[in-house]
Amino acid sequence: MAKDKKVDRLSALPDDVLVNILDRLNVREAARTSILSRRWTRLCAKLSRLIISSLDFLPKGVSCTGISDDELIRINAAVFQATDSILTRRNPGEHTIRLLSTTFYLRDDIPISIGRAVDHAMAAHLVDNVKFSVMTVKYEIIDMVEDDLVTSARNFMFFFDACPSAFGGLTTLDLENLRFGESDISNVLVTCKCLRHLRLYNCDSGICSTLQVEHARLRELSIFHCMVERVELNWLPQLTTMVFEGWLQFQDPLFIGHVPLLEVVSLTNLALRYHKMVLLSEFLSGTSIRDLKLAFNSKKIWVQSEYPTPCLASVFRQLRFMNLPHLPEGYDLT
Amino acid sequence: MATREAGKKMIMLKSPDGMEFEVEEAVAMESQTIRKMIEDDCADTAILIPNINSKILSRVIEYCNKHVPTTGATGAAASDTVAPAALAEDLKIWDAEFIKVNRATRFDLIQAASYLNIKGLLDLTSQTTIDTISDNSLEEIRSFLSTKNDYLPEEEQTIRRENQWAFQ
Repeated sequence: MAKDKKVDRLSALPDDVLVNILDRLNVREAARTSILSRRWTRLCAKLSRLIISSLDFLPKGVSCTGISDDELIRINAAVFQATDSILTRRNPGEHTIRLLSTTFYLRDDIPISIGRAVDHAMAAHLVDNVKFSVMTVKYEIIDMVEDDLVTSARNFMFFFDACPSAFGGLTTLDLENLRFGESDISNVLVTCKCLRHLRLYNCDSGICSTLQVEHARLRELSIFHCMVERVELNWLPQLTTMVFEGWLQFQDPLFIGHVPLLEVVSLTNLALRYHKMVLLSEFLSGTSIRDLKLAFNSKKIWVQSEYPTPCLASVFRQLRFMNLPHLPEGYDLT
Repeated sequence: MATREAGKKMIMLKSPDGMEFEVEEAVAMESQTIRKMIEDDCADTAILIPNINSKILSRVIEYCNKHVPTTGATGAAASDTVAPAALAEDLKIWDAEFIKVNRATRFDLIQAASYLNIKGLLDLTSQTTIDTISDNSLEEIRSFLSTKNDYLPEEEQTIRRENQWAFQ
């Protein structure tokens, strides 16, 4: 008995402290505590960070690339049940949802069901940030054939067209392995008018296409291994951070237009023989970068010191942090 | 405003059991709750910290003292001096030592960290609870939290059904 009394202290903590602790767990772990008692059920209805990921439903010791088709269908269904169950138990408007993040596979109708649940949640509750991470069934670029990419993109656009208001409130979008039709990407950008973070992994509108980005609110853009010839950041008045990794590159791979707030830039590439020299002053002219990371994933250094010109000086006058990982020994870049 | 000492502004913190602690303003401002009081100019004399006894308050101040140079001040100035990685490693070891307290003290620290809104301390003190909830069976969690099951049998069935996805 004496021991019990001592242990009881945690339950004596006020609700907001316990909710704060539950918020650090993933939704699956947090929801299990509702079985404990009525109080814990109430606490689960107050969570402020709802992160629901297919990865939390993988069988123990299995990686996301090694699952069977049956498993995948089960996992995707579980993500929807979790989203629906955790949202429907909340009292409308009572507690703000700081983040509602769902990660799911692009498979069957589950994305649409999730999209609708999220849409309802945005209508009924105060939601600060909404994130979709859309995973394709195959992940490794090397396993993907053209048809996989095109089919995935078609499935994505079907999902997108079915849930316009969910996408309209989205703040973060994470996409992979999609070969879009010509105007799809710009349609997505127009509909997702609240978007602040966008990550594209192996997404394009055809090999060697041009990816044009215009968006009023986007703050962070990450482009990884997209088979595009050129990325044109035409008009991004709020963009501060840009990560660009792995490009095909026959000519200058990046154009920076009206991006006045850009201050953190990370460029990484495996340089191949046919890659043209990258001229930083051309890349970055008209910007004032504070933090620049250049990563060399091969022994060919693709940046040479340029002649100090007024243009280069103006590009680097704000530079505070410079990060050069994987720099082969013996190179002097001073 | 509060007293000055060698150019550093000092703040007086009072626990409900009557103890007073004089701390640098920067240290006190590790607590977002106190920071807000100072910024709103509510910190003229001593700040009374309700519900936190002197034993716990002194430990909280010890934590803030240790953590103030890295997280406070301007980021650039702090990172120029000591290698950040070494500093972080040192803090981690210190934290691990700091949290070697009995369960009752830890719960008091959780409550204090929550009231004073000190994120790092709350992270540190809640970690055991988080680990317990994520790694153990329901019965183990129930006994750790010493929560009484107050459901009627049929209610429990419903709750289990609604949360079945969480047990797959």
